Amino acid sequence: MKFKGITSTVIAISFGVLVLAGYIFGYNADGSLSLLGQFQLIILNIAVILAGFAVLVGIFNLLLVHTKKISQKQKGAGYSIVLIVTLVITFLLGLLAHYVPIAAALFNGAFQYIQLPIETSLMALLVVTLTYASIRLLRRRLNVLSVIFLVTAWVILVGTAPWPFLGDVPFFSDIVRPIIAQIPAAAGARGILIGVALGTLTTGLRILFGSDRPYGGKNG
Amino acid sequence: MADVLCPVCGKPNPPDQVECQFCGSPIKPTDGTTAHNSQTLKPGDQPTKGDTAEFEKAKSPDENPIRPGDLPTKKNTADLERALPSWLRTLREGKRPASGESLAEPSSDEGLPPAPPATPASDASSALPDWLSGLGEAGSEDEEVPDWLAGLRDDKSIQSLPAAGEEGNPSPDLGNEDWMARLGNEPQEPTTESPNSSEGPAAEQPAFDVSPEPDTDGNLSDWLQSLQSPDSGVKEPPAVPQSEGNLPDWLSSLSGVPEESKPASNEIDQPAPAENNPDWLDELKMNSVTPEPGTPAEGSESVPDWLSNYGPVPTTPAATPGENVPDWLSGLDNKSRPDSEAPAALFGSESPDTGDLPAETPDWMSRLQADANIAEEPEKKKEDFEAASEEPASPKSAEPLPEWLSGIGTTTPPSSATPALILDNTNNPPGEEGETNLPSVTPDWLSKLSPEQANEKAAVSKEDQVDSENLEAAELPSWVQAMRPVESVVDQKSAALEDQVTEQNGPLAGLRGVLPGQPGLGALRKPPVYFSKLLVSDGQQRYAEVLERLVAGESNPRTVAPTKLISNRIWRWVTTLLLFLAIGLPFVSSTQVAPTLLAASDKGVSSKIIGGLPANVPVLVAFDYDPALSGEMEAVSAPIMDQLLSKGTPLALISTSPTGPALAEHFLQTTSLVDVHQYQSGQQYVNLGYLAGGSSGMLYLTGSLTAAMPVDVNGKPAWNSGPLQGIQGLSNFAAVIILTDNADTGRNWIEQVGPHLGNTPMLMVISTQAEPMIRPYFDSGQLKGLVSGLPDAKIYEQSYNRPGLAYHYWNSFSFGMLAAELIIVAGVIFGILADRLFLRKKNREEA
Amino acid sequence: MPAILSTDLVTGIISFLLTLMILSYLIGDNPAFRVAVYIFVGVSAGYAAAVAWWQVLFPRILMPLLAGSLTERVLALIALALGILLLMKLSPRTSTLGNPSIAFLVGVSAAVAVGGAVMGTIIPQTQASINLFSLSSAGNLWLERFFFGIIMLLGTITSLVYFHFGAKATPDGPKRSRLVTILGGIGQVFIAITLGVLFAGVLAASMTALIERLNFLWSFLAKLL
Repeated sequence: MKFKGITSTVIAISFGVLVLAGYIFGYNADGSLSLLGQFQLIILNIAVILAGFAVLVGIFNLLLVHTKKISQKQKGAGYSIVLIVTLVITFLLGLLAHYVPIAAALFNGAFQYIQLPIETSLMALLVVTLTYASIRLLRRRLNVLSVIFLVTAWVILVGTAPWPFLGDVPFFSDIVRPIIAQIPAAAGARGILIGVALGTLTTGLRILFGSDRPYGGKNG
Repeated sequence: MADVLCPVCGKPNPPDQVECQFCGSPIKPTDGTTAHNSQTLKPGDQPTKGDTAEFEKAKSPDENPIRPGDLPTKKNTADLERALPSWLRTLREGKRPASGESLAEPSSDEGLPPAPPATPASDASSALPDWLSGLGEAGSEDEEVPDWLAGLRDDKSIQSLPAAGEEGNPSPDLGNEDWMARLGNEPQEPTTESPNSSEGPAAEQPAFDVSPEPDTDGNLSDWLQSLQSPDSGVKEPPAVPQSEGNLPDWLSSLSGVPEESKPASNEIDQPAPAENNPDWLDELKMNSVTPEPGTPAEGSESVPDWLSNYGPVPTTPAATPGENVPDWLSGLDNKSRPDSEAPAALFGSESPDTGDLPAETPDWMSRLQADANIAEEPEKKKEDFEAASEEPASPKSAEPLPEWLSGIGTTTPPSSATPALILDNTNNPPGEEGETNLPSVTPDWLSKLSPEQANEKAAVSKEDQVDSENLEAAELPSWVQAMRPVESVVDQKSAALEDQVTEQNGPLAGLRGVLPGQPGLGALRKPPVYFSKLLVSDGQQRYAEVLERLVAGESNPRTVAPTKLISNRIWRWVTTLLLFLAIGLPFVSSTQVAPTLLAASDKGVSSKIIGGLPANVPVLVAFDYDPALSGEMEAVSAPIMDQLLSKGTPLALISTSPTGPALAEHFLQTTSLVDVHQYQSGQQYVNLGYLAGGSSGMLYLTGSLTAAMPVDVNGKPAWNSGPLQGIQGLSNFAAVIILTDNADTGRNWIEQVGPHLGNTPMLMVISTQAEPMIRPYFDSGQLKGLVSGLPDAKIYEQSYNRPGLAYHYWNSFSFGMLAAELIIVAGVIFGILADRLFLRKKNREEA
Repeated sequence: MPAILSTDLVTGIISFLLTLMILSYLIGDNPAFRVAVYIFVGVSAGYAAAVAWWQVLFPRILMPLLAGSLTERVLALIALALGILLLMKLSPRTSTLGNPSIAFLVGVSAAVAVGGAVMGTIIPQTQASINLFSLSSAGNLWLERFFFGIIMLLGTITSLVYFHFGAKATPDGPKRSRLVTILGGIGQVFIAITLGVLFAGVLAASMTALIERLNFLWSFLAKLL
């Protein structure tokens, strides 16, 4: 039982170490790819291909979920029908786009006149939501950090755009906002970035050492 | 102190009494077991009337406990009396013919005195099995033998033993039955028999712990002598039905011996114990405990006055063995069968002495009789001895039937009360009972005992027996059991005790809670009652209720106070309206009201870099922003791309998102400032398409650009011809411009591609939301240029005086931002004030 | 022209209606909004699948298998096999067969992330934090730069300390050391400022998106009218 899952672990560790080694030993002195570098590229090529398969897996899973929802006549099955229909049509148009010009036009039109407006509109809704949330922030949680947060946001907003008919807000636009954005915010961001990088490093090493095995169950 | 009831006879005894003064059985069990009737009595309970017959069975024939080294005690086989055939009983009861003579048939009543055949067999008695040993004891255990009768029997036994020895069949073990033999032999040689007989029983009864106590020679001899004087001067105990000769009328009438057997029966003066113990009877008891020599002889020489009043003293019926059962004895048997159970029991308790059995009586009968006599002897002598200590009552007083005599019939179960040698009354049909009348001169006690009374007494005795049997089972009535609380542990416990059965047989008789000897055949008891209901105490119940409330409270969702949904919606509508108005008005006016900004975020570095790029060197542009922010990104990217395209720089478009290529196409075709350049795919730019894998793809791109993106979105080769011809790697590009709205995507590009760019600058056009996280990279020098948000785009356009989308959106952006700022301020202030007022109102209400 | 107009009109109407359907959410949740969202999900999923096929699988697997060299074919077959195993993840019964492919992706991604984090963030950012105190190039502004450098360094360090969650076991429960608690508190302030700036940036970006949408609607109506 203990040796179940060793295959996946061996694969993950071996190819991961090879890719990591390519960072250091992937190039020769003259800048050309070394053997390890070439092997690294092969591995990366396969990873790119598998990433494409991963997109298909996600989309097929979406199909299965909504198909099951329709078959079980759950609540919202009608919407699932709309989703499946549009998905299939778009996919077919995409498959035919290389062969049929009208299909290409429709395929492009589906993105340009359906997906793009909807997605942009969804982003536009965020303005009202964020504004309303900032109003209720201090009513829900009134403490020093929330006050600092809201004040900083307001100051940045004030310094970002000039006021109509008044122009740039003095002191806010030219001093406060740049200082806040470039020093404390940048410092905090740098700390966050370094922390994220250290976490990424730790997690990656754990995977490469085999301590973490997020790739499937025990029988992997 | 309250008297203690004897577990055997049920009579009250003093509390400090160890042995029952009536029956001699131990009152307090020495082995620690409880007596059969010593159940825990609760207040208000009626005393339990035990069945004395069972006590007789249960009690050990020996007074003393068994000690190591003691010889085994022969057990009472009184139970087997019921199983005896009637003809055997008949033989025992006094029909003493040797072979052809019909035996006297006394009544078949079990209480009848036995008609002892005159066949004592000494060695036979010792060889008698245990089941026969009880023959003689049946009557004695079940019935209370009067002392005087026991004494008579003892004397007779003493006298009969030598006679038995003379005849060749002594019965040394049947000491109690000797008096019958003595009665029979008394007319001939009463004096000679007694000393020998007295010795015999004592010497020949080593197994019996209770040795007959010596009689009071003088007392016994007197009345015996008086008995003998009328006829033969020999007075024999009346319990010798086989005594030959004429029985006194009273005796014959008592025993119910048929008339035909009368001649063979000596009329034995047999005063039935129908009254309280007279003085003479007590004296007789004391004298008759141990038959001693001389006593019977002396007693046989003189007949007491009371006995002489009843007529001639009957001769000992046992003196002539082989003769028929004397008439007196047969008459006694017949009479006592239905009516006189007491005297019959008297006779039955005193098994006849087989020492003087007639020669005609078979040996086995004599042995039976002898065993019965031996078994009864200790009991009778005990009773005689104890009765002697009592104050004798007048023998002739008209008194009711004494308790000890009445108990004879009551304590005698039908199955066990049959004496060992009582002859069956088969020869006497029931209709002939009347023939067995008492003699003309009947004693007072006997005359008082009318047939109806006798029947009643018999019935009562039987009822008592039945009741005692029922109660003996020690089980509560059903109605009592129904009232018992079923959930009470204590009751279960007591019920468990009550369900224990008292062992009846064997060495563990009298003990409770004994395992049955045979599986499945043990004492049945009520199966325990198992309750399906959980026994929960009050405290546990309370805890359970508390827990149930807690759990129910957890499962039930808390009823949240209804928020002011209407006010929330109104706030949202107001905010929307204000923002829409603020943003929409500039579209209507289409005037530029907002002045320009002061400086860009990167201080114009990007513009400088782009301006310094070579014209014909391709630039890699990554369109890695989402369609959701395409409006801002197109507005922000437009001036930079415009500057770039204005130089005719070839572009290589790439994207790590599936929608990137489409966005790139849309940007180049529709975006203001860019569409004017009319870049054509394949000519001025090559759309390399979608690069999967994220950071892995980026690293792949850095390793081999041509391998990572071999073809464009149309499937045509991208690197061999066209604008990207000659490009081998990223370092061959003039610059790498990343258009992204996501800080992570930008970071990936910086981390994966940046180190491999060499001198190729990397510029980044980002959304306002990604600026804080990307700025450190710009500050660290990893990014050469950074354009962030609409303000930078506005400045960029302003610097090149090429108004684009940023310019178009600026008024709305300014009004919208101002509206948002004002809404936030007003909303926060209003919210704080409203909460304060609400709290004050709440405090007032609570106060 | 009429066809184009009609095409533009049709596409415009479609975009206009979909935009209104989405913006109707500001009034309240309604079926029109839900339909528009489900349409969006379907179209985007179908588009992504088509792009993944034409721009990843077709050129990297199908083309090499059909017209590639031996090496390319071998590599393509290996990639195809791993990809088919990855598709086994769709079914719970065959899910275990996809574990090797997942392991391959995880291993490679982990290595890439580690390399990028070290070489792209940790080292450069650390170096940048040190360079803040490189006052040689500051000139007269060295004090200002030094002061800002101190703040930057303090913000960076305290922000990192804030994310340190190691604690010692005490009778009252796990507690961080006092120094860590103080520095973490300061770091919370810097993080709050950073998040406030982020919030403002998101609001500004969404504002721009709303402006773009309203501009579209106004333009369409203007063209229509």
